[in-house]
Amino acid sequence: MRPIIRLLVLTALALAAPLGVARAQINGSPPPLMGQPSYHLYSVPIIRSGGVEPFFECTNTSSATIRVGVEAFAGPGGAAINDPSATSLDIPPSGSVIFGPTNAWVPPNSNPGIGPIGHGSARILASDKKGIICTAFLADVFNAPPTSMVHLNIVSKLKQRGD
Amino acid sequence: MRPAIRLIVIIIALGLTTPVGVAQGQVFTDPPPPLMGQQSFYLYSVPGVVSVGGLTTMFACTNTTSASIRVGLEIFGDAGGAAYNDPSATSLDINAGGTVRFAMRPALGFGFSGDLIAGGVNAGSARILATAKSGIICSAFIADAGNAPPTSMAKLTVVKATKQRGE
Repeated sequence: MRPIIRLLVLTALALAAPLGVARAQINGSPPPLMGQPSYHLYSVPIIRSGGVEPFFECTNTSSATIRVGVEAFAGPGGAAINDPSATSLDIPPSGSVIFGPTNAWVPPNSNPGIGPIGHGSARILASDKKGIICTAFLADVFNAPPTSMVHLNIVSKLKQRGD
Repeated sequence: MRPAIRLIVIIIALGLTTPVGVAQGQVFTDPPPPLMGQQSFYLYSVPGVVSVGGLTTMFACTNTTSASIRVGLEIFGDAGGAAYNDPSATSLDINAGGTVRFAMRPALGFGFSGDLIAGGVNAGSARILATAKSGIICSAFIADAGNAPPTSMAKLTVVKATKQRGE
């Protein structure tokens, strides 16, 4: 293929892949967050069933703003089931955000749009390799305070250290 | 101004504008403020601090050494910026082998040693400071504040300084 045609084909492919649309599975390359390259910081096995849904709360411990997104995967695996870019947020220095669904007890900053998957996983992405710390938990979304909650393990990238 | 006089003026000015007990740290990247006049060290970070919707956050810290250590908590809110509370005024001395529990607000199900007086926090974080680099271990959890026993509770991740190693 001539160089000019190859360039045109590549450009067309790039235009057909809009910014932020997730395609990779959990061990794939993380998608950009609103045009910024992202890094896979943490993985979290999750449940979304029976009125219990996952919440992710992250804090920026650095001195510069960092964008963070949550990408979810269904139980059978495969491609992401939500758009981590469109639901990502900038966290200012020392700021914190909650990613989670609408619920009775705390207004989330962003709903990552995790559908009724039963069980699956999520990975936390950020536009910087360092500076973001997170916690995750399951909680009842119908009652304030929630009738049940439980901490979820946060795994560094894909390597679980064990409790 | 002569150098010696300038130095004296600077020392006096700093001394007058830095009263014991006032929080100095404004963000995570700032040096930890003194705790009641004693130098402090930044031990742990805790994301996930909540104090709304009937929930409170509790921090239990134990002194594993044979000497007293002062511990304080700095609470940061959603938007970042300055701490919501005064970590020095709300800090506590923990006796050798002793444990204290700091609370974002009182809870029916738990007693507590110190109220952090940080107000409502929707999505916040904390950093745990102490007057010794080692010897303090801590746990943190969210709990229903209005029922005894609590209707729900959840552990929070305690990160060593700012480096999360994963579980």
